[in-house]
Amino acid sequence: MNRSQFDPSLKKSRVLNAGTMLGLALPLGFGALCFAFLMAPSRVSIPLAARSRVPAEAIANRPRRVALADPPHIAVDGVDQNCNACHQIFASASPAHTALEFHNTVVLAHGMNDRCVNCHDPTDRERLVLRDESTIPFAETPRLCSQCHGTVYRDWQRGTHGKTLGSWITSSPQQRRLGCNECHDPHAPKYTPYVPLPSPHTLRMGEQGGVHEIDAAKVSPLQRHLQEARRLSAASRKKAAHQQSEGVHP
Amino acid sequence: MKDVRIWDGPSAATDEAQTASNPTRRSFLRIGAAAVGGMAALAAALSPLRELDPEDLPDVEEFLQKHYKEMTAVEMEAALARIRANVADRFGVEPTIRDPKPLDGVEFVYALNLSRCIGCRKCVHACVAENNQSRSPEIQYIRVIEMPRGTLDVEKGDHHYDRPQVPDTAHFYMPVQCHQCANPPCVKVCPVEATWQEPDGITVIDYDWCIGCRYCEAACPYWARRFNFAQPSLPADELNPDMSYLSNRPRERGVMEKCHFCLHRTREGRMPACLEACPTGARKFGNVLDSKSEVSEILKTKRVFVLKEEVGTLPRFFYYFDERYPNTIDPEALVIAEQLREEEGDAFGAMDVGAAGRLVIARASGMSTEETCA
Amino acid sequence: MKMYLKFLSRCFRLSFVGDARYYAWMFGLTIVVLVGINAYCKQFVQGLATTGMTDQVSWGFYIANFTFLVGMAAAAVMLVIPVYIYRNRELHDLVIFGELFAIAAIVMAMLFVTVDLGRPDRGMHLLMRFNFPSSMLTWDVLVLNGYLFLNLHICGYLIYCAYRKQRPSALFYVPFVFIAIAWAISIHTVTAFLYSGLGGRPFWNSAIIAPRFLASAFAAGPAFLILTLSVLKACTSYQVPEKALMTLRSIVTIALAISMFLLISEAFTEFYTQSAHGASAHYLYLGLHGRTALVPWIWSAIALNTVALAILFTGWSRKPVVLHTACIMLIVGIWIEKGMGLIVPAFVPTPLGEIVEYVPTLNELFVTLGIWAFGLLVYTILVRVTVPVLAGRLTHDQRFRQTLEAEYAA
Repeated sequence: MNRSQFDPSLKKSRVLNAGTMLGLALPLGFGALCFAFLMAPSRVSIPLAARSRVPAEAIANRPRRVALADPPHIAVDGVDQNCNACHQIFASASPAHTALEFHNTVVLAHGMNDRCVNCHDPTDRERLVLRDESTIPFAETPRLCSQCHGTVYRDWQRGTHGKTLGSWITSSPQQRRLGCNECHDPHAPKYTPYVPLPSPHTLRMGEQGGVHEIDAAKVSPLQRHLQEARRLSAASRKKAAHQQSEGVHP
Repeated sequence: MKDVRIWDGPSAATDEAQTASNPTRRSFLRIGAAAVGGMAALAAALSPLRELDPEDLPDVEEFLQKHYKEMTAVEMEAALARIRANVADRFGVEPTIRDPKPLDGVEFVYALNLSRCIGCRKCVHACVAENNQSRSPEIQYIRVIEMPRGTLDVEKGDHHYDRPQVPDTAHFYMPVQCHQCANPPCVKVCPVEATWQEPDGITVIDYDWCIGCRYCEAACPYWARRFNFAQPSLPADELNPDMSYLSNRPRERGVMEKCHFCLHRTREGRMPACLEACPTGARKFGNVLDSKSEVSEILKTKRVFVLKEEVGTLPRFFYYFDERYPNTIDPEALVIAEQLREEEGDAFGAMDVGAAGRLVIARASGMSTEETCA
Repeated sequence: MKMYLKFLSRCFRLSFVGDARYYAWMFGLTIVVLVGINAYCKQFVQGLATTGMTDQVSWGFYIANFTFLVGMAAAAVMLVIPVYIYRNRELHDLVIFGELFAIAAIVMAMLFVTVDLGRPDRGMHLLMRFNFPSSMLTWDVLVLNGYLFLNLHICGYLIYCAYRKQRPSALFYVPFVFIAIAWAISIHTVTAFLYSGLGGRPFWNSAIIAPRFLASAFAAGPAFLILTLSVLKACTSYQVPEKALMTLRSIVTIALAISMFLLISEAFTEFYTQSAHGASAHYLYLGLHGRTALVPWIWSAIALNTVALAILFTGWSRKPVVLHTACIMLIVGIWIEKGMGLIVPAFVPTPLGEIVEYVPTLNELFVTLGIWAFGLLVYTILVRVTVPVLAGRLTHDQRFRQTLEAEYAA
């Protein structure tokens, strides 16, 4: 526009001059935009979290543990032996003798059921003994367990406790309900803790820091009760540990 | 500047005598230059399309493929052959892809024992390995929520617990996946019928029909549906080649997916992958129309409940707690057992476990020692 | 037919005529549209991962703008009702600008839904298996397209009649006007039902959503028209009667007051009850477990709306500058309230209690701006063409050159 003031030849065509400028401005503007589009990266970066890998072993489809089959055999000092291979020859230590000389890898943590011959037949070590002193093979372990764990045994028979593999079809020959000792170690039946597999890391999840805080004022009476119980049990454990270290007997 | 114009129009024409050049030509030039500039800018704006992977684009066959329910057996065979070729092309593995149909007289139900779940997340990852989900971005069908005791309000739970060891005694663990509702809100809202309920109770998705509007994802009260926000990435060596049309075949970007009770397994009599991986037997699966099935037994004998019953979805996924099994022995019962042992002697170490067991149970149910022994 | 095509071609040519401000405005919009197209191409190639949306917050900015725009489209009817039901003459000639805006708003709303689709290439599946009447989304497709065609018909017919210098036959448009009134209510109601029908999202599962939608739309829509008409008044020879603006002002005031009342009712129910279902509302207004992304948004919206309402209630808002400021404030306020304030919090926390926040990405913003620019481009062209036709400067018996001459004179 200002050019027309200096250039007399353009003065009369002010309209055209402005039009020319527009004619220049539009293509130039579009050209600059073109350039910007072509220079800009043609992909948007997406914040992908590092993927969590899980070893195939951790999710393998097999019973939790391998139970002893009939006839039972076990490695003693690195040599695989049938039970009676030793027990028919050597006499066992007196029942009053609580420490184990052999099988000392066995950790017995079965509550008050803490004597070998409660379950193992004292005469034929390849069989298990029931309370009526009849014996059963290892394959029938659930019958042994049922003597104390009646309610669990009932649930297991119905299929509401325990794990069933192979098929969901009740009549299928593939369907197999695992026995007690295919999940539980008979010597220490309580499950040991697991290391949890990786927590979720979904797209743009952001920082997810632990448990939500629960407002103390809005805790339900039940929550308060549970918290109090936890506090008391922690305190009593601490007191017991203290007494033990002091050598004080109640 | 009021009279600036790209189109010289009539006023320019009247100026013709005073200007040297031809205004029509000039205005043509201006319009031309602006149009060319605009077109070039449009072309440049479209330039990111060059990044489009031809493999990602639907081929003609896929584009013209009919809805699952409208396909004849022959057309389904053709679709399966196309998918087989695609998978072989992309992963270098020849899959066994098929389209198993629902079995007659079967309605699948899942039951999950909350007393048993320890929160190890094996089910989550076994599901991913089985169902060819995208590894990055991560897609998982199962969420395990660590819940404080004394509540079923999921909002108080933690999805991201990362303890060195589970279970934590102050919590219980609640895995959530698709509940295969009998009244599924997701099916109701889908504008193109890309998701529907099969006669065996499984709600499925035709991945080749979904338009990706995510209305089903908004409608699901269990947060069970997942969307492929990006092209799913799945390493070839992790591909599960045992696949079916409605379940675990590889998905494309822009479609929904979700748990389908491993229908390629379960419709052939096998168990779902999450159940097989569970180390505690907390997961139970079966046919509710078979009165002898485990799930029927659970529904009959356990006190089951469903999550968010108030939303009226009628889930086929049930939770239950066991009746009281003392998983830690009452210290008092141990004292009684010790007394018994002292009284009866310990000749063979064969203490009467049955009697002590009865005592433990009696104690747990609040009976006195005398009553039990009597 | 030939004449109609000639009319269209003249309109097209006319849309390239204007003064420098017109060119700057159109050029600016074109640039933004191109930026939007560029951003959408990236999204098309890489998927919706280019947006801030996640499985946790599966709807975001696009659906928020869609909802807002459906409301703006529906609000056009707030000009029609006084004219055709209450025989308000002042607004008569302005109705057409409202309906033109409805067209532009519907076009934008449809574009927002399209860019939100994961597989837009499968759009024809809607024609092949249409889950009607079960899915509210299919209802929305029907009512939005229906409303678009109703408005295209009404505007097109009236404008073409003016072009042909014919008196419009009441039979050809008055019934449609009455259908459009009911239809306008229906588009926003159906859009509200889209959300309120979901039992799994307690934040939406409220009967008050539809009335809230309508009230807020009937405030924001006429407010936008006040702004448009003022621009028209300033930039063209078109006469906008002052009384018309004041009628619109009272519509806006009442609608905004009702909208605020409904907002308070909703907030009271959520906070006084203190049930677990209030988590989303808690997140929106106060933040949840230290996550507060939406808190500044909603309080700015409430502040903007409150101040706008206070201004509108006073006589001060008769002054154009004040009125315009109030209008802009309430449009922004309602845009936040219905967008980020209504769509996003329903997803936080998720139905399983996980908290993942949502922030739109730059690419997503570009696509959004591109669609808005496209809609404004459409609206500007429609208005640009309509003004000379209604003023009798573009008619079938004139030569186009005469029209241009008249345009430059105007």
